[in-house]
Amino acid sequence: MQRSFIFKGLRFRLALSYALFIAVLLTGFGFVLRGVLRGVIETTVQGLLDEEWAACKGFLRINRMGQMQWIYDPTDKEETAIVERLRLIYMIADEKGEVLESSEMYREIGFQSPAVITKVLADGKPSYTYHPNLRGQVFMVRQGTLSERGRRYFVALGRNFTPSEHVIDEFSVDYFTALPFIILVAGAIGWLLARRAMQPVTEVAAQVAKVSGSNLSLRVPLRGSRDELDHMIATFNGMVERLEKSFLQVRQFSTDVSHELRTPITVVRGQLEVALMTARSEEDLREAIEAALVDIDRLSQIVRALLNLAKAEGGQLALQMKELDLVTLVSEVMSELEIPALDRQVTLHSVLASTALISADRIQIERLLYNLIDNGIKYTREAGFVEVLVTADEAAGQIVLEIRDNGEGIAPEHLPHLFDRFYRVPVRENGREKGLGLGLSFVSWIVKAHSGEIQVSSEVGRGTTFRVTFPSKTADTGNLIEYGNQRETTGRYSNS
Amino acid sequence: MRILVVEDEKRIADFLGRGLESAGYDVDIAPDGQTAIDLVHATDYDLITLDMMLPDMDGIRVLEKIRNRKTNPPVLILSARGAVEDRVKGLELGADDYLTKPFAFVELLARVRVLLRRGQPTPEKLLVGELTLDCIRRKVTRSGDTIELAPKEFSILEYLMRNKGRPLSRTMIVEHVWDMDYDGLTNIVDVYIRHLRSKIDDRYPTKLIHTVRGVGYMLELPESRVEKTPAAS
Repeated sequence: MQRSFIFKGLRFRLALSYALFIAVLLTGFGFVLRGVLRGVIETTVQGLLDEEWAACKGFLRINRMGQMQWIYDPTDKEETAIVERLRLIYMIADEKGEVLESSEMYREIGFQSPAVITKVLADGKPSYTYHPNLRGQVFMVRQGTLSERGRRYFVALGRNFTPSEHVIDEFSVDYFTALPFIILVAGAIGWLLARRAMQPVTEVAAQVAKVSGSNLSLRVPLRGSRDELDHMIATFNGMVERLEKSFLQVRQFSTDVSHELRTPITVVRGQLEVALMTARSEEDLREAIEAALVDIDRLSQIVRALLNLAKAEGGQLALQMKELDLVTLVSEVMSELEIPALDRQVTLHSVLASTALISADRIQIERLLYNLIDNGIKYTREAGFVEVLVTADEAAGQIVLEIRDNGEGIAPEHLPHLFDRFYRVPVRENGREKGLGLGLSFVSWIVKAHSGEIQVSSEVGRGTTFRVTFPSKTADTGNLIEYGNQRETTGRYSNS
Repeated sequence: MRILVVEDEKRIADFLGRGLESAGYDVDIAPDGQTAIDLVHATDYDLITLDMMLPDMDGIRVLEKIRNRKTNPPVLILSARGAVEDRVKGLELGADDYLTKPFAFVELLARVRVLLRRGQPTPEKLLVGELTLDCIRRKVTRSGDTIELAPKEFSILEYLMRNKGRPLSRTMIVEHVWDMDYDGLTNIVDVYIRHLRSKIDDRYPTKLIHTVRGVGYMLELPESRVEKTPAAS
């Protein structure tokens, strides 16, 4: 299974990086430990050499002639042992670097060059060096100055360092041999720990796998641990919710569309069929055909409007945003609608600010005005009025457009659905021309696309008011209204 | 025969009314659910066609209300909702048939005729001219000759004979015989009818199975045409 493979991969990487980390850490630690061990041993050996030096000073005398004299009590076994021990590895040279006396073992490791001797004498301070002999042994040598009767001598004392080297080497070998095993164990523990860490991920993945197109309502339950995984689950649930919403919208839309198209097709088909069956004259047939043509017109209107709306909501409609004066636009549209208004004996009336600049797409705003004003004319009673107001709300940085009529009004239960696609307020009277139920959906989209807001208030028998606000062009953009928040309070937005 | 058409879309109600009247039925039209319920309580209808989306209530509710009545007229649902669940729901709630808009009027008429036949006693032996069909023994004879039929052929013939003189649409035959709803595969009906004809009609001078243009098929004795189908005329 692909999924578990991915998690295995992740688990493997976790365990591997854990093992690598442990390896680097322990290797570094090994080297540090080795250094510390060496330092401790060196200090100890140096201390021993210093002690020998002090003893040496007590037993060694150099007379005026420059001859060495070891002064000790040969009967004292202890003293004899010490002096013999001191004389095992030693060398004395004068200021010119000429070797005055040396032991057999010292000769094996080789004398210091006169340059070194001069330097040590000039420094006055003791120093320590390593000298290997031909048998592969290493000696630590303390080089120091001995002053006697105004003359200075170079004295070097040595001590075999090889056993100490062995200790350090043995430690290193033991440590670094054990290291791979330790790392292996660490890797195994890492592998187990990674499984524990990945376990919830695997569980969540199993839950997520259950969510599919047909059960988008399913949510992955939170684990309640408030950790990163919970955060991820919450994010995932949010995503599914958004998907579900648009999924339902699309499904609703296709249901609506098929329903909307079915009715006129039924009418056309039925009218023509029944006419074929029952028509007794050419006149009857002509009548049926004409009626069918009216319905076909309506069908193509629906298709056109749907296409426009789909284009707009699909983001295919590019808006040409320009600065324009809403007042001029309103006046133009109103003068164009005067004749249809006169036809229904509706008075058009306007109260307009001097200018109202907004940034907008001219064609879309014209469409919005046509829709809203034309609706007002259609749904107001004979001899009613439609009033259009444009005001600038400078405090809020908004341009407010209001379209009022004194028509029959809309019952409160229909208001929340007014901007839904295909929603039509049912009318009792017959013969009234039915709209497509798409105009206000489009208006709502236009307002949204212009970062505006739309609200509707209505009272049955008194009339309806649409209130549209746009961000004013001169306003600080920081004052732009977040229509997303307002949506809740107004409840007037179609969710389409 | 009196039919109640429950339909809010005026133009659909119009042509349904005219069409059904021209086919010889009396038609009342109810534009909403309440009117429909009132009418059903006042009048005995032989059949009701019911739109599922009414301005005042859902068609399902209307169905529940009128189903409480003693006289139980068959209900034919006409719906713009084509979803299978709607269809199943409607039929479960006691509707007798379901037709999705848009529909052919002749299809509606064919279904109305079949629904109106319901309630009449169904004989065990069907007889049309010299053609007999024994429903129990599943035996078919014509002029004394035994005719061997495949099970589906038998079912189609039985359906045609039970509805003799009434045209049946291909969709109706598919729904009835195959007990499923497969639009578009209706030409399987044509194939079976061809086979049926070769067994029942081809060797005899009088043809019983007739093609009804625009609808489907009908079985009847040519001399004894009781009902004239408008589409065939």
